[in-house]
Amino acid sequence: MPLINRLKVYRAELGINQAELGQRAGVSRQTISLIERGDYSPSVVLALKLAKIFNTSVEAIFAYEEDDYEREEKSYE
Amino acid sequence: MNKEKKRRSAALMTALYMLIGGIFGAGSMFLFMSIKDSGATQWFMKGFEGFVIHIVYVQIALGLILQLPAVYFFRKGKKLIDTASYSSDEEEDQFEDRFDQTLNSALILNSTHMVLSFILFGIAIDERNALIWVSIGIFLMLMLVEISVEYGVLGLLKKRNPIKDVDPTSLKFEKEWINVCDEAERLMIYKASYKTFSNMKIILLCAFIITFFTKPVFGTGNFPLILLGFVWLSHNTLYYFHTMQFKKEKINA
Repeated sequence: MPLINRLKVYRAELGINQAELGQRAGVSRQTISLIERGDYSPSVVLALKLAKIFNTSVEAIFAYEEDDYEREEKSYE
Repeated sequence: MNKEKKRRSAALMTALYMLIGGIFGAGSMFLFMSIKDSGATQWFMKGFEGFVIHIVYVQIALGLILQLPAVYFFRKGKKLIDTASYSSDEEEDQFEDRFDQTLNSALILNSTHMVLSFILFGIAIDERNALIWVSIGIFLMLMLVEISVEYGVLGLLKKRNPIKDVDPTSLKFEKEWINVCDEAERLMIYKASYKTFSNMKIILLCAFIITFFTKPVFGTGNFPLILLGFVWLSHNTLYYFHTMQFKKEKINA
């Protein structure tokens, strides 16, 4: 389930590093790095915390893209 | 129709596995009884007696092969954190990968040595071991080194991430540790735990089967069977008990 995220872009705009963002969000620097690389999808609570830090909506940072399997399943319906 | 086919296929596969298991079991019993009748058992027991007599040297060798590299990796981790410098997120990621790998190597070697040294210590407590007090001394000394490495690794993790300020001597260490982990770290722990549970089901079954066969061949008696059975039972029961318990509680709120 691919989750596209613009976390790195927002973080760069705010001018903070991963460690600082992690501290503000209550998670480790590694978790922020995993999210930015797309290796980890944050929980709802963490996504909301991040959106609050950047003063934006969750949808502005994270977007859900259907993969080929899900598109195929939908076409059968 | 598809579901019916799948059900029939599953039933056939189960029957096939049972048949293979039965053939394997009967064949193994025949093989083990042949080994017993051939006198190989006596040969093995003599060899094991030699092992017990010289166990001090095995303990020393194990310490050199496993414990010494564990200390090396711990010191390497200490050096890494003392000389850490990075100018970008990518460099910091690379540093953390190297740091984690080094500490994991230390912990794996350390814990492997701990388990094996307990086994050797148990075997060393034997009237055939003339150097029994030397064995006890080596075991205690290496145990101190193991504890130092484990506490040292924890100290390095705390240094890297001050939030992980958990007392390693606390009886509630595991609970306190997971409380200071964030959601991604917890997920990794849970995934690794479930994988371990799944693999242990197979390992315990295999260990039980081996104990079942060694009973007539080596005269190990019923105690190992009962003990291993108890461990297997605890392993399964605890998992299902905690699953039911967590279903009643909040999952992640």
